[in-house]
Amino acid sequence: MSPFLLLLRLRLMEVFRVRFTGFFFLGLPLLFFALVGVIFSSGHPFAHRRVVMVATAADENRSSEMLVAMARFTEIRVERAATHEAAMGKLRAQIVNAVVEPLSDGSGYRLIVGGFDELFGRGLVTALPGHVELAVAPLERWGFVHYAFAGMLVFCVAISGLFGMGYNMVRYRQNLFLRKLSTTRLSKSTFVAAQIAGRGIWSLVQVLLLLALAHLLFSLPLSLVAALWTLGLTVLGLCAFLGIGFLLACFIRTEGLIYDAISSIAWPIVLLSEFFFPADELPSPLRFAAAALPSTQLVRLLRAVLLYGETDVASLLPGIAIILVWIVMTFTMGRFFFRWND
Amino acid sequence: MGFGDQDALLLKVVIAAARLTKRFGSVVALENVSFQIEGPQLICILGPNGAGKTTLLDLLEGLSQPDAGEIRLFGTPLSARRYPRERVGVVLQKEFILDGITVGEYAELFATIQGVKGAQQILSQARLQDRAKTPLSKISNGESQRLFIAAAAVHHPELLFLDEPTAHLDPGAKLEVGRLLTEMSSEHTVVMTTHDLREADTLSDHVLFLVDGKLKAEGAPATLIDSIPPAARGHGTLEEAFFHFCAARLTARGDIEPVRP
Repeated sequence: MSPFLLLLRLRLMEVFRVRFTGFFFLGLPLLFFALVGVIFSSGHPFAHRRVVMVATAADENRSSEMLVAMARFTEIRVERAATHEAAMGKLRAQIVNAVVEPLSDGSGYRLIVGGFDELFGRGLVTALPGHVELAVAPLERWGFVHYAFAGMLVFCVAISGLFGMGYNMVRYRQNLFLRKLSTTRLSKSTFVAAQIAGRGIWSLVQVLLLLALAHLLFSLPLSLVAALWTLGLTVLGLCAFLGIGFLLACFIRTEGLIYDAISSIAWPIVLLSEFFFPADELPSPLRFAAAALPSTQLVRLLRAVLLYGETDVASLLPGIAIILVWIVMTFTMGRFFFRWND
Repeated sequence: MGFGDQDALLLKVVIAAARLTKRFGSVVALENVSFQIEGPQLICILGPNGAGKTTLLDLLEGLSQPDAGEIRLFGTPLSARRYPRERVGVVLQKEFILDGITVGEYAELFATIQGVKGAQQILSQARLQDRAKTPLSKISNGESQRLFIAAAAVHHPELLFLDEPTAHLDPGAKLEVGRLLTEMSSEHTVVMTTHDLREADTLSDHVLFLVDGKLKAEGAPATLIDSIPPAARGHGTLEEAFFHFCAARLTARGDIEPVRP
């Protein structure tokens, strides 16, 4: 056999030598395509017009009537917002097409649309019951960039966490650093804590740079409180992904395999975690799966503080709790399964 | 050998291994190995490749657990959760090299991990004071081995394990590392593996002959040499003792291989 053919055979067989590599190379693209098919089975993510209803507790009855009226139109998706600021934040981010809110004198409703949706607004005003005023709000040019920014931030945090802990742990195991440390009096928790702190500091620097760029170049509205919340939530989200990376590294032994595993996790995260479109466009089982992901919760929390002006701890707490569950779960399991050497 | 009544004696012993057995699947890497080592002195575990030297050292270092048998260090039985790390130093057969780490950083890392302010002590013992800023990957094998040994001993452990510390070294570097180990063995119990019989002859106070996972003989080199029958004794070297006890021979390539009946 010629050297060319021998080398070719070796290269071809590499895919099958490790069962997982074969799966990642041949099986995963098919799975991803199937997932994309399921995700977009109801059409593309912006196929529906989205309307947000400002529904405070005081206006509950009136809001309910309007919500029922809007629910008749299958071409629109209706969601609720607790405050005018939160609803307008979504309109400015161009992730909803219109805001409906009760007029303060109780005489009817105001329908607020962006400049691109004036015609849609005019049509909706005639279709809704009662007195509805139409208002056209000027929208920020970079509105959707602000929406996508949170997704971008979370993607960086997820990749940083997964690679920062998962890939590095596997590398440290392969180059025998962990084996060497196991011969010393160093405790596992000190080692893991140092890895978290090291990656955490770099992630904070990364987030600060991204925030500065988004603020200066894309006019992202940024208060000191929102910036501090962003940093805090980023650290929290990073810990969740470091935990997932840590857990992966407990079971995966080679750099190639951990790279494949992280890549295969990254794709569903991008598709399911509201980076570019809301998860309520997903079929219902996927919607619940998406809501359970730390990335989805982190995106929602970041948008709440950055775009919708939310700083009330109570309203942020459910999302924070889900991320905390991930942190506790992954690190507890990781601590149990982690071995310094094979 | 068992421990039972010998507890009083074990208090003076650094390592006591009783009926150690370790299997990897169907392969028996160590079979019923028992010995006792007192310190401080330099002990060589001798044997050809695949004899079970590294497996034995892994067990003694607490990096793996025996399938059967018991190990006591300083009189205390080892368990999966309990190992006297503060009293032991280890140089592995393959030491890690982190990307870009310098000699000085390595010294500082191990001094700090072991809870002592001894980075300079490591550098001076390894005679690398002027190479502190050199990347670890850029120094010679002999220099890096001296660094690993000095770092493993920075916290003044009573017991030092080294897995083939002189393998892949040129004769000069071998000599320097040997000198360092001899110097250390005056204060520490140094246990090293090697398949270099001449080196073991020069350095060791006590040797263990290991072949095919079995301990064939152990003792002071002079005692082992003296116990060779006069007919089999040539120049009275450790090499002859090893071949006698282990029914082994030296191949043309200089490797040791067992003589099969």
